[in-house]
Amino acid sequence: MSVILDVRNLVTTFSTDYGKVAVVDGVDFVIKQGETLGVVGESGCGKSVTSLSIMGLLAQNGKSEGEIRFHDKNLLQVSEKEMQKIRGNEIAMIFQEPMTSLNPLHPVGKQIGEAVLLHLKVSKAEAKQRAIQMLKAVGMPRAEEIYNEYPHQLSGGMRQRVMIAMAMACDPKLIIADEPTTALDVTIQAQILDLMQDVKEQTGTSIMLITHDLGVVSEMCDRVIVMYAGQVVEETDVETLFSEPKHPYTVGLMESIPELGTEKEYLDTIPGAVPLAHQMPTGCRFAPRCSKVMPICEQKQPPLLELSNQKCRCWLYQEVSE
Amino acid sequence: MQPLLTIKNLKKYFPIHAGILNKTVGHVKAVDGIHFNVYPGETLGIVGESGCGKSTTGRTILRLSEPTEGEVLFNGKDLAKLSKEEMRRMRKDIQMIFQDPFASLNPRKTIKQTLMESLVVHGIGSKEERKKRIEEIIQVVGLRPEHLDRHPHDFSGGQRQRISIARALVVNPKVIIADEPVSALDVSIQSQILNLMKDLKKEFQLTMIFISHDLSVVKHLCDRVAVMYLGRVVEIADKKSLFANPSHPYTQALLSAIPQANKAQKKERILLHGDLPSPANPPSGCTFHPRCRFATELCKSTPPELREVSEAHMVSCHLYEEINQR
Repeated sequence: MSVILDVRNLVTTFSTDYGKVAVVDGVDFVIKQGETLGVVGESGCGKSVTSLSIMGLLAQNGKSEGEIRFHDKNLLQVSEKEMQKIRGNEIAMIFQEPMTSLNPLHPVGKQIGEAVLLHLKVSKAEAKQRAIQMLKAVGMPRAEEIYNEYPHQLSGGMRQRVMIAMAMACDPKLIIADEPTTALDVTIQAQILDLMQDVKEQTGTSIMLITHDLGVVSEMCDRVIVMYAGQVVEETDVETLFSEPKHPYTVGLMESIPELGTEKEYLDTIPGAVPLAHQMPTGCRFAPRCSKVMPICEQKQPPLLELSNQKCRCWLYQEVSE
Repeated sequence: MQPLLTIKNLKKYFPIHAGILNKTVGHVKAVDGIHFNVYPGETLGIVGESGCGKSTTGRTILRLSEPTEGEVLFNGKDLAKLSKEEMRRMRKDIQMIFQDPFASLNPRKTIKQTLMESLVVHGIGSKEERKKRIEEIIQVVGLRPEHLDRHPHDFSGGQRQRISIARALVVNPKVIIADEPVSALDVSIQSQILNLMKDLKKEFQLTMIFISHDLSVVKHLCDRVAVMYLGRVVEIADKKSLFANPSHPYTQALLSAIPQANKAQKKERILLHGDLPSPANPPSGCTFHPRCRFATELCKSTPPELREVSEAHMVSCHLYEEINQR
């Protein structure tokens, strides 16, 4: 499988009142052709900022360094004009909250057609045809009518289908989906996940799926990276993640979720809270909350160690890797 | 056992206004005739998707929105018929915890002022006793007395939810209604709050109505569970019985839709088609029939009654026998 996206040593900093704050700090990963990569972590771990860095959609005070290779280009060095050709065309994005990411003043069909018109050499009539075809492809009933409807006339699940149709319209090579089902109810979430799985099987698109829900990861992803405080702490295939999680944070995260199948009197918890971006501990960033903390953890940051089945940023496994 | 709280045929309709004269043209039937009991010391979970009326149920019990019809019996008194003043006094016994800890605490007040207010309003204790009580309660929820002089913005989401819990507990209520108390929190913080609530439940023998969309959380915390769909209770049962034998087709679909991290426990998924119908114009007969795989002519015409199918397990479905004998 060929690699379509290669992120190397990505550092994204924001200038704030506290000075320069690195929200994403040295992230490496690759996405291969046709695979779904899950990015897991809690609020503030940098997962959304990573995706915005890839898309070149950072706020004014944000700046990315490192390398984001997409095909033969480094996305951090291409001009804005060139980026516009890639964005929405070769790399598309699905956002969490479809109500705020669709334009309320335009019919949804026109918004899908806009991307087609912009990126492909087609006439207006062809763009409309394509938009209707996409609406049908995402399982919308009465696609011709919905073409002319506004976002407020649709339910949350239907809006998210429109977002997916929009992302799919130009046959992108990579779709970045940032918490695509978090705002939806479980029965609607099941429909949308089912749809995304179908889309992937039919088109062979790669997906970068950002989520905090390990259940969604287990259902959708091939490989997973776990992020904590702006860094990748664990990277592995999805089976290994659930059978042998290595990093204490990953383990803690899994133990703290109530599950339908298991009965527990108390949930295991991770004490404390995620450190703020401008107050990162000097050693391992998880050390203050870790149950297996050692003296070295508080002094030196562990590197992302290569283990047999996975990568893990933790001093516990240093000997194993050597 | 005598129920502590009995809900009888509770309804809450919100009028829809339209036109220049602002005439009422219809009603959103947010809660449409529900019955249930809450027994002392138990935690009743109410689950359902957005728009099913679970939050409205909680708010209507406390009369944060006035019920359209029905009775809420608490210690033999009908809360729906109390005067405003009597109801205000009654709220000492029934307290609420809200979903969003960022919106439900007054940002201008210190934690001490927030907690003190409840005690003063209900005229509890002398000045000294109140101060002692507050210091006690802040430690019960896992914070420290020095936190009392800070403002809500000094706290993280999880800590704020602890403060909300302290505010509800400080007046020693008999019943707590918690409306999605952990939905706004990250998983690692969510588990801290769930454990705290479990502790408090034991320590104070709290009776609780726990409203949530998350079945796994409800299963973890509750003793009995009511499943709501479009303003009605479709199934209510003991936790064990409900999760072992979900009997309403909606409950079955809801349970199967939850993504499971553990692959060994994966079941066949029942995919529901379409969206929740509008509560302003609910379908005839059984409100679930347009999305139900088993629906018959009977379901389209006649609404089913909630009936007992086994001990402490009630289902509102015409086809219970047929479906569950397959």
